[in-house]
Amino acid sequence: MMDPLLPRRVEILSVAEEVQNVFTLDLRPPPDYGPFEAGQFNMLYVPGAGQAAISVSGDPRDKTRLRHTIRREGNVTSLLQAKQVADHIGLRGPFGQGWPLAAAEGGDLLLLGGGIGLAPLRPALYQALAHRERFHRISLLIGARSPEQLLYYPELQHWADEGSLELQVCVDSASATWRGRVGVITDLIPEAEFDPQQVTVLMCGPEIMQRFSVRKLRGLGVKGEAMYLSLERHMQCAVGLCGHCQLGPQFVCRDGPVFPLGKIEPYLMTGEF
Amino acid sequence: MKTIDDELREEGFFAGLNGEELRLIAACGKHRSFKAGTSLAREGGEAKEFFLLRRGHVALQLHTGPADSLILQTLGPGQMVGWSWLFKPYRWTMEVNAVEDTHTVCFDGQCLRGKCAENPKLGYELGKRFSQIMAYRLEAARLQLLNLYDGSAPS
Repeated sequence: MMDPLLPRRVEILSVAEEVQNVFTLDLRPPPDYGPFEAGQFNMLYVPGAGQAAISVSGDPRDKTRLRHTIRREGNVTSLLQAKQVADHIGLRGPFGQGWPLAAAEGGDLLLLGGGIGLAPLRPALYQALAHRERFHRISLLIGARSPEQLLYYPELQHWADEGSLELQVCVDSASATWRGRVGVITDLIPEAEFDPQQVTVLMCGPEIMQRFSVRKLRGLGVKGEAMYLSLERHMQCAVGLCGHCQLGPQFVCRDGPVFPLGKIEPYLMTGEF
Repeated sequence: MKTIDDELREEGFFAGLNGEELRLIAACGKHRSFKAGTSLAREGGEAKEFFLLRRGHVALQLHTGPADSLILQTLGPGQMVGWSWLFKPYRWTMEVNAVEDTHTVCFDGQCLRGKCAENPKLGYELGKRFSQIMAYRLEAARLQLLNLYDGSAPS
């Protein structure tokens, strides 16, 4: 068991660009790491620069590599992208509460991922597809800024083609050659295949997207207890001590990042949080 | 075979209208189909008609250059396409192209404007419904403008 406050030195196995400003970093797990649950995150350190909380985006069954898909948006993430294979960085984790996949068994599973929000959902997909018989219908709705910004698209399309899940995609705008949907992700929800009384919804993406999705799902009869949201906040200690990621009475790092809607709904709609 | 009247009764947009109102609207409609890639409306063209999509999807496009255009929204079964027939100068503000083979009920806007002028309740009912569509699409357009997914919008 790793000391949660002590970073481990880990080797970079690969750095690969996914889409513009988004890359995937594979790390060799420390011997005493994990296992991680789908939806959990690690703290990645660049010595001398700082740290960033990054969700694990790979397959929980793969013990040979720890995969993180990262949006470049600051000093630490830019330095992470500049790293080379065989370089070393620091790692603490895994942290936080993951997706409640066991609770979803026997019913439909609906996943909504917006932009980089698809990254923490992918481990849940790997896990659900590895035990496909435990779920009824699995639907994945994804939103992106443009077709060029769609994450993991070949892999997702492969799963859809083999009939493992229903995939629907919506982008904010597209060139005239695009044959898919353009609009907002909430438009896809009424078309997805699920029973509102028997579905578990997992969503991750911009909070505005999640708020509107909650509203749309409620309108279709999905109960609040069936909805789980993954939130992003500025995290430092990752163990609920420093308070950087406090959301009302919750710490996103310790009590989240995955929350049942009921625990966070009042704070989602409140500007000061 | 279903009549247009029957088809209107299946669509949420027309829910709550009485039989007489539905008959008046249906009398201004006819079936029209469009092959994938063909155009339902041209930007700047006279907006004589609007469409209820029954099957297939269409793309609302804006020209961004001499040979370029951008898709701003796609619409599918059950959705209405076009409100320019309601407002002067009755010109389409976007191009509408069929993304796939598309079947519609096409309504004659001039015919319906005339019926609304004679029957203000019908006009009010249609005005309410189109206003709801506009409000929803305005909300969607605002969200699309935020560039939510690239992280530049505040969370």
